[in-house]
Amino acid sequence: MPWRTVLRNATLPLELAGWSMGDAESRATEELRRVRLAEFGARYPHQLSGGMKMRTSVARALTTRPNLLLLDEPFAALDEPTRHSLQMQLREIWLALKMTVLFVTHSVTEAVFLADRIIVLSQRPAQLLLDQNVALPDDRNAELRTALKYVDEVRRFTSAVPVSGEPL
Amino acid sequence: MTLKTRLASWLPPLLPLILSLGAAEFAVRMAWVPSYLIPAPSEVLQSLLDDRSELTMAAWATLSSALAGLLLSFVTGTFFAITLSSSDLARRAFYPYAVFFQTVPIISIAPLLVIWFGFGQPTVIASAAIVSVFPIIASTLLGLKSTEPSLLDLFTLYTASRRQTLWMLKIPFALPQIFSGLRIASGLAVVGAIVGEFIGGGGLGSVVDAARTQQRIDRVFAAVLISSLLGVVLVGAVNFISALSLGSWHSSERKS
Amino acid sequence: MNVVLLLISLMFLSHTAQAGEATKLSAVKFALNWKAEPEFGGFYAAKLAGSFEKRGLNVEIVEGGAGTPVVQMVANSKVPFGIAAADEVVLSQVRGTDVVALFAVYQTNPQGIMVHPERGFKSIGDVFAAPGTLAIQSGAPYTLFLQAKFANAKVKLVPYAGGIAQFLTDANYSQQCFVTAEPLLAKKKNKPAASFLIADAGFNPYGTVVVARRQYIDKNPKQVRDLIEAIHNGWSDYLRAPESANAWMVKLNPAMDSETVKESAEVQKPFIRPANLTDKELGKMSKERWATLVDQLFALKLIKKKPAVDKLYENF
Repeated sequence: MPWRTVLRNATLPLELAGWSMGDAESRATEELRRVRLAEFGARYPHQLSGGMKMRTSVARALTTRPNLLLLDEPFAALDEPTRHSLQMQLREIWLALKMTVLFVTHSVTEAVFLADRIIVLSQRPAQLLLDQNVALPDDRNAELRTALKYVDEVRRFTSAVPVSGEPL
Repeated sequence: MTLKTRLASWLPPLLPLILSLGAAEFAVRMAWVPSYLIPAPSEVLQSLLDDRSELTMAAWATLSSALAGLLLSFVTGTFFAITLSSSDLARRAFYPYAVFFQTVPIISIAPLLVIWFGFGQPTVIASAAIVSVFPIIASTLLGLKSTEPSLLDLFTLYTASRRQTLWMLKIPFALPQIFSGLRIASGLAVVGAIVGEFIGGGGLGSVVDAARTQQRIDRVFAAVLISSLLGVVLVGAVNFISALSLGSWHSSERKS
Repeated sequence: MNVVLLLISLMFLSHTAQAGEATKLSAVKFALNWKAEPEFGGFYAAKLAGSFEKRGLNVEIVEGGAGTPVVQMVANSKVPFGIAAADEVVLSQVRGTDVVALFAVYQTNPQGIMVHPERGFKSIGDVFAAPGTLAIQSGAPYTLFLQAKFANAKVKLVPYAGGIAQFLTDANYSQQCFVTAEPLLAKKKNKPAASFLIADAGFNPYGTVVVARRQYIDKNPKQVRDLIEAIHNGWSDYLRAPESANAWMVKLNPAMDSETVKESAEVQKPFIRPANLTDKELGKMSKERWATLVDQLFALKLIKKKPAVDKLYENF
């Protein structure tokens, strides 16, 4: 919401739930700190980069300490370095908060880097093509992207996607 | 800014004005154009100076009426638009009547206004309000209906009530449109006030009326000039408020 | 033989009839500043009697309405002849035009103030001294005259928008009127009105004058003379027997019914031909009256300089 500051964007779910502004702001500040945007609380969205806007959205989503986090291609519009960085931050958050994250993406490499478990759906009408766990350790860092086991997993899941290469 | 760039921005719009005023003055002085058709700019200026106290008082009266009318149409128009935006049925039932406010010829219902509101400011304010209300309704309604769907989804996701969605999402989102409507309405409010004054008396409208009766075209032009200025003042005020509220976040207010 | 005579005479008859049609009539527009009503009765009477056609003039009487700028139309030669108020002629000439008055319908100006009798007013001064509203044309000479004469007015002056609608509904409302017209309409609507002449208060310009440009008069002296003569006869006829002209005007202007038109035509007679005026003097104007008007307009600051009185009018 462009007319609200970063902090006020993050407090939205709590305001809607009836929290007092003071409580809402302290919880929101906590989450902004988690996504490393705490100093930007007074800025407006138009002053932020794409990646920072996305992190604000994530912070907003986390304020209610949800059990389930739904993310629909959140990093698709970002440049690669930012995307990589946010992927690692997401893993960090997940490891800290331990909620279930349902992440939709068209990028196999992203899916493999992020997920414990990947579900591949076909085109319309969506049918389950594959549902398997990812054989990678919990601790995933930048070096992993060029490691052999990562590439193997990517190959494994890529072959599950129909040959036509059509996105889901 | 160098002198050159200053000139480059000021001169082009000023030049046609100077040329046409000069041509008009010359034509009237040489009696090519009779002065009862177009007054010489110098006569209009003289008229402005001679009658400045009367014109100032009249201008204040018209401005206050126009402002009051604008406020009235803003409050009722916004309320109407909010109501219509929340119910499809209400919108289909009542919006056509809102259009009526746009098309009714104010000069012909002004005598009715006098019968209902009496002579003087009440009629003038009513006239200003009637003429200026439709742009506010139309723009506000458009703004409320154009809320970005992803944000609406966000609010639905957090089970926001209708009231919360209206006040925390739809209205802030519609502000640029609302100000756009207000901008148009403010010019119309001045027009409405002057028409109201033709029938109800007072302000610049009565100056124009009397000047017309006396065939004093220069006075008519002087009064018309002042009333255009009033419109500029009102629009400027709206722009100022718009800049304050939207300045921090809306692309229309940012210079870059 | 008889048949031959008959045939020859028939040929003659048809020939003369054709000759009559072959004589061209000059088309001339005559612009009124209001709709057809007894105020213009004499013009319509002249047209009906064929007085214009007899003098080779095809006069088209064009009705006007609120705000029709007849004086400007004449000044710009859009129409050769029109109807205006005497003060408009003075103002127009001061602005530099050559519009001249040729015939005055009303020797006594019927401009007045009409009031509700229940208010107990005995004069216009009373109206100004009491609270209430008075609807009067803003900026008009008689308005300025009355405002100057009755300074410290308690009454609230409001714009006059035409008609008597407000008068009928508001008991504290007074308004300007032609004493020969609006009070009659009010009586018809069961709200009889008392009226006072502004002329009695001291402002009495000629009313409903025929105007044309000096330039036009100089170029077409015979046409102007013929026109004024026909108008003169028309008014003479109308004062005697207004019935046929009234019937025509009612058809043209349904806003007035025949009864009111008849009454109005009767009531206005002494304004057009006061007791001491002969038929010959109908419509003629005097230098003194015009001079008085100029002085009054000057005193009211409506004009900054006084025009030559002789140039304002011409009696034909």
